[in-house]
Amino acid sequence: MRRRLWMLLLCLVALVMAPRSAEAQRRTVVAVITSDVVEVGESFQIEVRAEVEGDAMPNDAQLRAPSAFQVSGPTTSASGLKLQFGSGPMQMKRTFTARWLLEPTKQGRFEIPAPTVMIGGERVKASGRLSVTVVAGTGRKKKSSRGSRLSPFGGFGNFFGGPRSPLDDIWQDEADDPADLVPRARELMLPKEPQQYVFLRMLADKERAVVGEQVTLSYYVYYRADMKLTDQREPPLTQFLRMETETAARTEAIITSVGRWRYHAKLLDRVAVFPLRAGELRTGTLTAKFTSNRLGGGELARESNDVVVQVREPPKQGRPLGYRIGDVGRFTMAAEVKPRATTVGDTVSVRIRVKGQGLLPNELKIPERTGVEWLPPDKRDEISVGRGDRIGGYRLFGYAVRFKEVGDIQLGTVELPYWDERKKAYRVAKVDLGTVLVQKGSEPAAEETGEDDARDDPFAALAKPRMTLSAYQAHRDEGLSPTTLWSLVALPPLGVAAAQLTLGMARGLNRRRRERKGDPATLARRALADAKGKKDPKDTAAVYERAVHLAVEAATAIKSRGVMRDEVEAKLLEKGLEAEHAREVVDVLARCSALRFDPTPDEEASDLHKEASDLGRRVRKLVKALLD
Amino acid sequence: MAVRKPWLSLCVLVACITASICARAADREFDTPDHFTKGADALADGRYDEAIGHLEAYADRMPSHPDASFNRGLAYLTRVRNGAERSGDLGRAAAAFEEALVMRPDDVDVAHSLELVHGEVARRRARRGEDAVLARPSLDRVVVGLANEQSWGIAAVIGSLLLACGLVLRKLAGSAHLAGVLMIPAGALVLAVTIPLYLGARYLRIERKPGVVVVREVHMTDESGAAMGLDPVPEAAKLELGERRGRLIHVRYGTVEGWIATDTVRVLRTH
Repeated sequence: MRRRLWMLLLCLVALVMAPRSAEAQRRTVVAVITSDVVEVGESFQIEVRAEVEGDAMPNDAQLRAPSAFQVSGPTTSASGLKLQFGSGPMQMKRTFTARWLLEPTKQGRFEIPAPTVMIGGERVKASGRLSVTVVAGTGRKKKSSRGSRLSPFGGFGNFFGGPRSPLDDIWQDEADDPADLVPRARELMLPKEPQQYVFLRMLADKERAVVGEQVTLSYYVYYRADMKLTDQREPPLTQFLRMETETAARTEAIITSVGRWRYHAKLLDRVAVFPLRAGELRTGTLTAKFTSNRLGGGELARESNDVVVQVREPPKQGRPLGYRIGDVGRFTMAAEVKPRATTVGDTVSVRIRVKGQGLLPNELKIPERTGVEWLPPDKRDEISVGRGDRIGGYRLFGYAVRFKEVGDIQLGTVELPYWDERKKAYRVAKVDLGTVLVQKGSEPAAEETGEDDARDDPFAALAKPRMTLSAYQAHRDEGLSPTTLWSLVALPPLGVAAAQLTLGMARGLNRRRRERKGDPATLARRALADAKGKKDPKDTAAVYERAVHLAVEAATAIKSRGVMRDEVEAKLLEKGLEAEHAREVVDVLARCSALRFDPTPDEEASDLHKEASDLGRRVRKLVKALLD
Repeated sequence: MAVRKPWLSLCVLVACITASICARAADREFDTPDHFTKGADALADGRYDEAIGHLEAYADRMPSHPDASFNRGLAYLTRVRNGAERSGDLGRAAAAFEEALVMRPDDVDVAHSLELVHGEVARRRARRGEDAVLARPSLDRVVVGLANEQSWGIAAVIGSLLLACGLVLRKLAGSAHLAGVLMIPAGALVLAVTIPLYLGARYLRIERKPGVVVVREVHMTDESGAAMGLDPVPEAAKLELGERRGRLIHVRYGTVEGWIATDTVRVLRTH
């Protein structure tokens, strides 16, 4: 009440002062305070606004507040506007605004001297009485100024629909406690500013939908400075069908919180969109441009978020016959057939009304049958926005149906299967069209012209439909798998080749085995091994002698046993044996012979054993040398 | 509490069973297995649109059967005969008959019906002053088509056996050796011929599907969708379908290959 009185008083002052002088008309300086009663520690604002016609720009705003207040500011803004009405003279109007934030530290009633501004070298005091009562703190959250009485000048600033709201400019107001916000404002809260001062936000009422289901998009502008919207471009919505809901104009901006700031959230537009296909569909972005006195008149370009809607087709499970993707909503049907009796060649009118919520179908699946011709329908509809911004209404299909046969003709049933998004189930709206009695008319009936028809009908000789399924065994033409084929193709030749190879290898092994049996080197080594088991020195010497002969044969291919002992060395040298080895061979053979034929009796043959042992070492060394 | 819990469980169980029964009943309402009978009855009664609905549902949900495909073709032709023809009806009828013929190649009625459809398409083209389009299959398709994949595979195995016998006999003496020497190149030749044919037949079976044009005519484009400037493929023409890319599908018509929109052709279901 007191606020209203203040406003009234100010207006009266303005009216009284206005006609007094031309000077007063050209210069208006007014101050306002945001609160009459505040608590200790609760901040409020004082604003002075100077409007001047002419070239002098107001500046240097000053406020002398009592010591019981902590003052911060001022924040100032200035702008100029050229005005020209018709072909009249050009006028310049300048506006200057300064704002202080005050926080009382003591209780009491205080009169605050009006602020002053410099205009054309003269300090001008603002009109208006600024008084405030400071009461003791109650412990509730301290808010910055409500701004309820800020900017009472009108005509400037708010371009978001109609006259200026006193809440438009909340430049540095801190965010409210979420508990103090209305539910809608809480929904519109954001944890941080996407962009400073003003930004666009697009909201969808659902993130998942089926093809053809309504998704309502709301375009919001958030602002905390006095803004003018200069350009707005809708999102492309290329994958959606778009319909206006016409509710945006009725809504007012509401105050919400974005990060640590208080913001206005104003609904720019609200549209109903219908996804045209399944997938991850994007709406595209809403863009707009803003200007603000607060920001020095510069232009701010803003782009909204891109809304993504996950769209799928309704489930295939339980999908009724004739369901067309996109038929989503809740529908009912009614039909009217007039007249119910006609003659062959004439038509009757069939009017089918589809009513409900959702995207109304553009065509109906009519029960076509032989002898009945459905002419293309006339369509009429009335589509509106219902409760909760749901699109709905009715569509009327008017058919003319011509009959070619006589009799009680069943027109059949028109069915409209649809997906009920609320029940998450398929439903079928249906209407029975009943029968029409068709009699012979004056025109020749179809039966009479049947012969001609048969002549023109290229399909007259078609077979009759089959009423039962005959026996049929679907053959699975799987073919041979490549693995089987490669196995079968490769097996015979590879098998033969493998067999032949195995046979060859076996033969080779046999041959080698046979050859090894007469191999002198092998026999020489075997003889040396045999010698170890001999106890009689003479037998041992005989074995050693055989080993040496075999080793010689292996090394030189000379059968030394058949060569005269004197000639052995020369023959071996001829064959390229080293002289040292050749001499050793001759010597060892001589020793072996000597030992074999030594006449010493066995009981006195201890020396022979020793000699045989020595000879054994020499023979082994020699055989190894020869065989290597 | 101990007494109440079993009652609660029983109530939940009863609710679940009831919900399940209701859901099944709802499914039955929309998913009647006997689409063939209903379609055949509707067709016999002249309700061709209803017949098309049921027979298409049968084609979608049930294993293919030549009689069902034949009836479906008849239903589309009935719609054509009654002056309620929709674009592509002749093509859809031809697709149904082609399907039936693939499953039962000796069905005379089906073959005759298909001939009538092709005749009508040719007649309409002639009335519009358009040339009759005759596509001959390429030589490779003809040769590969002489036998199926399995037959080519068996022939390859026989070639392999010949080769193996030759390898064995070659080692023997006398006339057996001579026979072996002759059998080795003969077996290798059979293998060299039949293995590519087997692979070709397998490729066609797995990678290519038959389809029929279901629009008045379709112009082939290249992969990017640019027109190739070829003669259009007429309605009801049988095509060889290959890889899909987005809204385009690769096709071969006679010796010509190109891309067409997927919704202009119907793939034949033969199993």
